[in-house]
Amino acid sequence: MKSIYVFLLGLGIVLLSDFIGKRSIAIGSISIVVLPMLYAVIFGLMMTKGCLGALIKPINKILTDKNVAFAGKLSGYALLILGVRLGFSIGPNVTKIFDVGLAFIAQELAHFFVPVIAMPFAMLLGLKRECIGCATSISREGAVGIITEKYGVNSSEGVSVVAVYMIGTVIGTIIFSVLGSVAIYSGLHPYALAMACGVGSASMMTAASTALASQVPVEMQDTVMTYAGTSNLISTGVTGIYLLLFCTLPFANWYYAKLYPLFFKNK
Amino acid sequence: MTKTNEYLIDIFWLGMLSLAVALGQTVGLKMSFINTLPMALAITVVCMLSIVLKNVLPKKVELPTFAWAMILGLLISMGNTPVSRWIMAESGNLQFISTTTPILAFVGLSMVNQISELKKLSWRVVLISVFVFTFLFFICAGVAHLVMKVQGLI
Repeated sequence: MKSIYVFLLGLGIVLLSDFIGKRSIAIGSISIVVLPMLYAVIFGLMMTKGCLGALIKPINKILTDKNVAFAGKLSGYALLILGVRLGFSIGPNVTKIFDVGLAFIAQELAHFFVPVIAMPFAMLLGLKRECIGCATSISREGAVGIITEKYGVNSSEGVSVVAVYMIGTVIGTIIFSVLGSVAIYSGLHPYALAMACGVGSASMMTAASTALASQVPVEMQDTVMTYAGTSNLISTGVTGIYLLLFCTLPFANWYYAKLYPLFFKNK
Repeated sequence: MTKTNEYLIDIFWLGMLSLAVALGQTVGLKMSFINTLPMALAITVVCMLSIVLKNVLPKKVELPTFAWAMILGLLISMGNTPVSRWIMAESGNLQFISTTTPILAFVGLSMVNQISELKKLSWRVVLISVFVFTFLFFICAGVAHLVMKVQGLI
């Protein structure tokens, strides 16, 4: 099957998702914003052989391994479109970033706290060296590169960082759109939350920040997108690589040695 | 395949996806399809520039193409130039939110083979992932809030 069919299948999903449009679901006094992109990822996943692919034979024919890989390439192109559009939102507001520069840097450094809390939690669940992979960062591309290079793809550390990476790719969007929706009830300022929207991948940032933006007054929306996009840029390019490599990982290994006797003393 | 051929393929698919964004917006937000086109074209061009830039720069520069797309978009829409004024005036015709749907549609499609692998993963790793995502989100927001509060910015 030619690659154009996978594009057309995707286009169909896009049109259906956009047609359903943005909805908000009220759970008690909390409202969760559901965006078209969320339906899109779910519809896309539903095309698998175990679901719609089994019912509708042509879908199975379109989704050859080659075309599935090509769908990944297409999502990469689509991400560039979002990147430029986001850049266009940030450019005119760029001076707003400098006003809050210190907050930006501080919240990026907060990535360091992940192992402090997540490693004991992982050890409580019985994980050993795996927690160096899955409990030290949000496990995006940079982290996967660093950890698999340092410990090997088949090491406990490597396998677990890839596992979190996959979970993040598949359900990360869903989790982050819920976070972006409900975070407003935490009492934290929307601008602080906006910066936090950028902690993970571009899709996570998009999910969280669009959900957040639709919960704040119109005049704050541009700033929310600006902060989220900028924070994502710093997380991807700087924190996700250098902070992890030079600070978080050395700390995590030292911390691991300290924690190990506490959790596994009889083993 | 030569670089030029690869670039032509890039342009083709970027153009197709820009059209997908424009069509999705027309269907979803009931906005004019024709009015979207100048912005869609401009974005396609900048995307293409970011791909070329990524190729031209030495491999040691680790930023993904996505980051270059954003940086280029940011730079040309900054300040008060004819280009930035045009972007300011036109960008409302192509809503940010409409650019998100195609990405996720294709992410979903590209993941269909991995669902079975995902089922094999330990529930503990799933639990830790959700924990890390949530914790990191709130700790970053908390720190940012605190700093802006202390500075009197919010």
